[in-house]
Amino acid sequence: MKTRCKRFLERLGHFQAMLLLTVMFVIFLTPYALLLRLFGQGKLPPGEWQKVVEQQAELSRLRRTF
Amino acid sequence: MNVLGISAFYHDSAAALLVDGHPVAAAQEERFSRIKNDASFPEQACAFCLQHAGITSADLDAVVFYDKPLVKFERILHTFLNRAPRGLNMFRQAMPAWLKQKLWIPRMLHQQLPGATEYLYSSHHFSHAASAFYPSPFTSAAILTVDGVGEWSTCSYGVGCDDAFELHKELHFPHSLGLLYSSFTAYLGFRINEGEYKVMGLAPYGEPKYLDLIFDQLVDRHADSSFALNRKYFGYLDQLSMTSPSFHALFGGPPRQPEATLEQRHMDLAASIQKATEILMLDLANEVHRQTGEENLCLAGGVALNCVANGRLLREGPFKRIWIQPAAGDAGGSLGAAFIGHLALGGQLPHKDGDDLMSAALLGPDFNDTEIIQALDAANLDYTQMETPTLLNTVAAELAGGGVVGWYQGRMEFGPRALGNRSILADSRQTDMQHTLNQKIKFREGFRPFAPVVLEELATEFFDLDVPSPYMLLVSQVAEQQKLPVTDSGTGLAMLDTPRSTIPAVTHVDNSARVQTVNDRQNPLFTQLLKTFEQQTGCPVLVNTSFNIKDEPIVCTPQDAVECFLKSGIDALAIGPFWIKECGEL
Repeated sequence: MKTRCKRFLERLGHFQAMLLLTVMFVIFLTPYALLLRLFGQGKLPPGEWQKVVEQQAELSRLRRTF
Repeated sequence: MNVLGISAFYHDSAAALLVDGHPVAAAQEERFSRIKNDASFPEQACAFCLQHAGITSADLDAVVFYDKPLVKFERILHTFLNRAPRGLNMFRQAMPAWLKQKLWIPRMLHQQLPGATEYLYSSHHFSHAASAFYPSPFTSAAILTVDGVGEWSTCSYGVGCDDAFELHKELHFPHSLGLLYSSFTAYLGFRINEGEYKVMGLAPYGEPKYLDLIFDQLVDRHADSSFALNRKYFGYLDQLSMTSPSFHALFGGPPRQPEATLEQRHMDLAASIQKATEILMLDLANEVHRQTGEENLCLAGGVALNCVANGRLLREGPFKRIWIQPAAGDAGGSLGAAFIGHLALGGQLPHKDGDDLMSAALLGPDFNDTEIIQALDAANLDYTQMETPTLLNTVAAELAGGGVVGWYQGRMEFGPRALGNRSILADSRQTDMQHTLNQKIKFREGFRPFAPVVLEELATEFFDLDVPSPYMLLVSQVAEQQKLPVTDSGTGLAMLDTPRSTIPAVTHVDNSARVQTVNDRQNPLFTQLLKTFEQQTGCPVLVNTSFNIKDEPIVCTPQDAVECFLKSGIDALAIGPFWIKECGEL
């Protein structure tokens, strides 16, 4: 019984998470994406060489996660 | 100075430890967890590295993660924004892992490895570049990294000199040679990040009939060797598959199901993408040479494991010397990250006296005789303890008699290849050995070739290869004097039935071989075994394949070795000084 309850709660949690992600995608992300596109933003990079701006040897850069 | 590098959460997670700039321990998590290509946090690999050096995480001067998680997350969000309203399913699949785990990597590092002085984050292609240049034998070289994707970068090049390197240019997602190859891997019914070897092995059975189509429709090559992929044909931007319906229409049908029969069309597709990859790699190497003027090239990134392309780079490319990181995939990123941390903290590189710093890639765990005996006793195996010369003679005689031997000695290899410490060995002269190994020992696809290991000093007698290949990362042709006359060997898989050389078990259908050379300096015991085999048979070439069976990682512990021995049809096992002959199958 305990296992069944646990499995049910897991599935419920999974369903809620998926629902939340769907809402996020449809309500927030998609309109924002369409707006960006309207103003010519949000494009993916072209297939051309890009200059590497940030070298990673400095400690201050290595401390950052971004 | 102790610096631990970590790669995780994409595929093939690993840890690597540098002590005063020397790689002293490195291993992939899959070897401990027994989950192939395990991407989870490399807890056991970290524990092994620390234990090997006799330190705890509090003794670490730095823990260095191999990429920048937030930049990667930015790329993923950016891609969703570009593709929305498409991509909902992919969004729902990708986000939970990011929200639960990947965004909290800093916290995880602090929890798993408490007390380190610094926690640093390199970037993906810098880690690859560092893994290629710093442990290489060169003090000056061009660097080229090519893989699927890191944060944004899919390919980069630069120059390294002494204790520093700079990356100059890079190509950005979604334009990726690695993802192009993986798309074909998936289309041909193989698992990505794992089945690429199979595509490479399948290619010689086909003709590159689709090469023009690939360059006309899929890949737009530019004069400066950069290239753009036509997104219309790829699903990896917003779908749960690598290829799109347009791709399927272009190549004449839906993707092959994993267990479906391999048809000539599949072989032709494999040949085509392999040829395209070789051409693009040669283009890239030429551009890097033009831009850097260097004579040496260091390679890393998953695409650098394509040994057929590597062989062509060596023969036809502009560089005099090439060195490829043996753990060129993401696992090797941990080593590169550790080098970056070590140098950023003021450390120096060890002196390079012509050799690389990889210790023949034998950086994994080893086990003593007591531990081996425990594993053998637990399995109720009868074993004989032998002195080294007796063991070598016994193993060589077994191999010469057509037996297949599990060879488990010393430290485990770091990287995807078994290089003579966790290997299954066989006689390369046996005509049916390729079939026996595939079907009865490793239970894998019948078309897959096996690699030779040869004494370095005799390599040129057997292969058209005039440089050492200690990491089995170069493919060359079998030497002309070893080839046998072949009139008509048929097409497709029928080509397998024709012996093509004096070493047929390691000669692929196009007369190529993925060569490993060994010498006394790098692996004395394994070299002695080859010498003993040569004394007994006159042939210094053995089949060397990894000690595992299909879908399992290479064995790590004596228990793993015994288990694999019992599950497979291996005839005998040489584990440490112990010899076990024929136990029957479970």
